[in-house]
Amino acid sequence: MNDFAVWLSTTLPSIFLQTHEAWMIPIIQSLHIIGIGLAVGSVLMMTLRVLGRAGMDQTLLAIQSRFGPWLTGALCLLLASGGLLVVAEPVRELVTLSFWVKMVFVALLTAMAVTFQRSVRKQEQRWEQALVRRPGVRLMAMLVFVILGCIILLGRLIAYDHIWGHLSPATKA
Amino acid sequence: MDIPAWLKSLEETGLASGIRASLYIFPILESVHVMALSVVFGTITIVDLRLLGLASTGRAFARMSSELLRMTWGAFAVAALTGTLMFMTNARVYYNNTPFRVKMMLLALAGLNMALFHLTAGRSVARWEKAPTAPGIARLSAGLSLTLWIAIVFAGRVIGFTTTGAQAKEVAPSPATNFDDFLTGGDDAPAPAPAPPSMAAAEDSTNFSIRTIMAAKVDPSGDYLFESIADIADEHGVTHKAPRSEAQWDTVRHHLQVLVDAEKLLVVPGRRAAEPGDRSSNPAVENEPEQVQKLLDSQHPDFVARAGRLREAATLGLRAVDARDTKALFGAITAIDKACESCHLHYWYPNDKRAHEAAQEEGGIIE
Repeated sequence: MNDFAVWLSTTLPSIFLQTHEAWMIPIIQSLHIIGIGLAVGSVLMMTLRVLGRAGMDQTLLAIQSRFGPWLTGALCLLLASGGLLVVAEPVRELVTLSFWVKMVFVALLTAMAVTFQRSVRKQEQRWEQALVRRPGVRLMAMLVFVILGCIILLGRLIAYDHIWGHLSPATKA
Repeated sequence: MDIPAWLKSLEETGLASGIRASLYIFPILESVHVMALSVVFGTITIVDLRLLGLASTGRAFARMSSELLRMTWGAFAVAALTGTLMFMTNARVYYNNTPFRVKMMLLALAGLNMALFHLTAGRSVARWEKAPTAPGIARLSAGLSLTLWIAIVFAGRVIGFTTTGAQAKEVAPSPATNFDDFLTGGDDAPAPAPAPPSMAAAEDSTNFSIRTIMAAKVDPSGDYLFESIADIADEHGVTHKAPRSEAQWDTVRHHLQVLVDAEKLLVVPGRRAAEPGDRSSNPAVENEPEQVQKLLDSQHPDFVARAGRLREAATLGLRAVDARDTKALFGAITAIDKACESCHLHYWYPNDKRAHEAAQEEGGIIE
């Protein structure tokens, strides 16, 4: 991965971003944070609705069709801006423990979001009447907040990967 | 009480120095700040889009907004708390940082905008809350709110980019400033007017960090020397670049003298690695200031020896200047380069594989 990161840092798009990094990186990072805000807002609304803590004036399907596409859109913005950040600073991003653990959590949350949204569209009645009361479903909903928190934490820790000590590939010569 | 003194006392509180001393607290505060602001931004956006008639148009506004704004305020409190704690660790630098000031101003404007909304369209919610679009004044307020919060996110991110690297840049010497007087605090030393806050606060030269001395004295002289002598191969053939006029030899001598004197400045016991709040701009390969500090504290004799190598190499250079011997000068400058690089590899970026390989190829690594 180290060699790939070093190679990536010598490619033209990477060099372009590196030579304009004074403004490019803060702008891309800000877009990334705006994407996080949109994703967090959407996930919060759907999850709190499942838990019966918000949006109870709306059906689950109405909440899903309002926020689902926004979550997909936010995820696209996050992948695009995140991808640009990796191209701009490959070694800083890829040679860290935080980045890869974050990717695992991102994949997990994406899978959960896709499964949940498909299931709500297919069996709306069952969700409204039974599933939202199941302890397992409620536990999963709460797990969503934990995963979301971990993703944000790990994202910020990419810049501080040394706190993992010898677990971080950045500390190995 | 004047503001700089008050900010300084904030930095000196046990809370602030506790956060600075920990490897973990600042990154965790920053992460919680991002979590909180994403909830603030996410929920405000939902409300604003409803007002603009762009989403959730079928929902009654009052219930939806009261549900969401509860979360917004809770998250805002967390963001304000974590923000204040981060501010305390380096209060004078943040206070004087333009993006920080812009962000605070934008937050005030966002607050004002919200108050105006409540005083205008907010008073007649019952009349329009079921309509898909809010009245013009509410739409204006929602558009302003979205713009302001996007700008707040951007200004906030820029703070992190302008409070670390900026200090080193600002202390780079200009020809008009005599850094010898500046750093040693001589009686007739001119007041360093354009100094950044962290420098202005230092009472004498022992308060400067190694990073500051490097940026102010060692780097500029080193860079001059590395540029002063070279063989340049291009379409005109090979050109030997070396000092020729007496004035050029004098300037080379001056910069070598700076490096000879740098040893004494660098090895002062208790000198810190970096200024409080300094962070590495490339932590994947560089040690953070606190890691450098640990190494310096535990290996002071080694650091003294390495600084001695810099003095020895620069002294060789002075002899070469006296003899007007460009070949010997080239040798001395190569030795200076190796002295710098081997010390940097040991303390600053021991994880930089590429730098290690390059140093080994050049045979320059002295461990």
